Amino acid sequence: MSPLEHRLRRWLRLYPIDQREEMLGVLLASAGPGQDRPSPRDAADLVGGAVRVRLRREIRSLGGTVWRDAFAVLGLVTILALFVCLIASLRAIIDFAFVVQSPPAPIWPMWAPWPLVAALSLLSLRRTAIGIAWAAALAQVPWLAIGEMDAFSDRLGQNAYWFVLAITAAAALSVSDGLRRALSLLGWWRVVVLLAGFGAFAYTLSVPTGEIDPWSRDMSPSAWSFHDPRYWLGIAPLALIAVACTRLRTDSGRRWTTMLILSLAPTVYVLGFQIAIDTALAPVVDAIRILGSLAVVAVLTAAAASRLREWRRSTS
Amino acid sequence: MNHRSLQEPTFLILTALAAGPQHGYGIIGDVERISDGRVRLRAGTLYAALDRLTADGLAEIDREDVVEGRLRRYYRLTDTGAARLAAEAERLRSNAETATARLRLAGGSA
Repeated sequence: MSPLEHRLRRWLRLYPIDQREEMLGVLLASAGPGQDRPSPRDAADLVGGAVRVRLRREIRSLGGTVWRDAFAVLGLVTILALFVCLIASLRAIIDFAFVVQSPPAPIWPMWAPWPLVAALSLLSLRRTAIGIAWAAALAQVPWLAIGEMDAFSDRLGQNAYWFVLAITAAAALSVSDGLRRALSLLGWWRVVVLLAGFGAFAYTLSVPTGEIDPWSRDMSPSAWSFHDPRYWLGIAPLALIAVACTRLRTDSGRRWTTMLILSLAPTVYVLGFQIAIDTALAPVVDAIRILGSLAVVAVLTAAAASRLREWRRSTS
Repeated sequence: MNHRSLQEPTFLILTALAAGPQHGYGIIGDVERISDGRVRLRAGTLYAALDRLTADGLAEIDREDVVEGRLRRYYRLTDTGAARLAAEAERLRSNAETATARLRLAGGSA
């Protein structure tokens, strides 16, 4: 294999497998004599073409089985996160400061329907579960409005995170085959680890503000955060959730892993920002917090549009 | 049905396929000839366009050969692709005629 072919093969890994061999032939035939690497313009063209092909195929496959499976797992994890809201609100912990995530509004009727949604979905009563999920998610809108009127608190920002999570859960249920499918995809040990992770997360949210080590008072926030016990309590459940959900060997696993990282980005942000606060990474971490949730909502909207198109085609 | 106008590389690829099935390298050469050397397609651009055209049903795979150990895939225009190309050619012809007529008028009145 010539050095040029070796390098081209590496570039062509960016493309779907069915295009690689064919493109290699064209690239080798187009190469000049003695050329041992693609020119910068050719390399840029290969990257641009790969991005277009991958994106287009991804958008086309949003209504397919791979993405339906990914959305099923996304639905399960986001609903479990909403269970945490119910536990937190029942314990009326609003007065305590939170390190890991801003607290959900302590209004239990906002969160109470989610166990019912989960039970209905597990019983394969899909449409009823979806209807109640959307009702529960949209029931948060009045509370968001109240938060907006309260100029002296950051209640809107706090509630917005949980609202987007509820919308994500409802939308994921709507475009997937439900929680029963998610359980079979994850397998029993991952489900157990996932439940342990969210149990620990609920506990973390309920822990009151700890005393900061007096020796570290003059240190930067990125340093003192390590002395706050709640910081470490926050990492442990996220690590368990990550272990349970990360699955990179399957097509749907890679997709649900990406969706979950983006969905839980605000939580990851709170932890990550404390590490990155004094570094150049801080704006990047901050951008992921905002763009993560927006990206998930955009993908779910595109999937719903794709399903709607298929439904119209099948009924016309 | 109203369609968005085709971009020039897409128009030229469909034009190249209108003469008969061609493989990727053949399309690159043909497009360069058709455009008098103005448009030189690179592999990334060509295969992104072919991926879209086949997904949209304007082109399809005709056959596959193996030449000197390399896969060679031939593409052909579908009936939908031919109709789309004809509609686009008609649109461009009509626009060109209008532009030429107006330039003549402007030249005559000057």
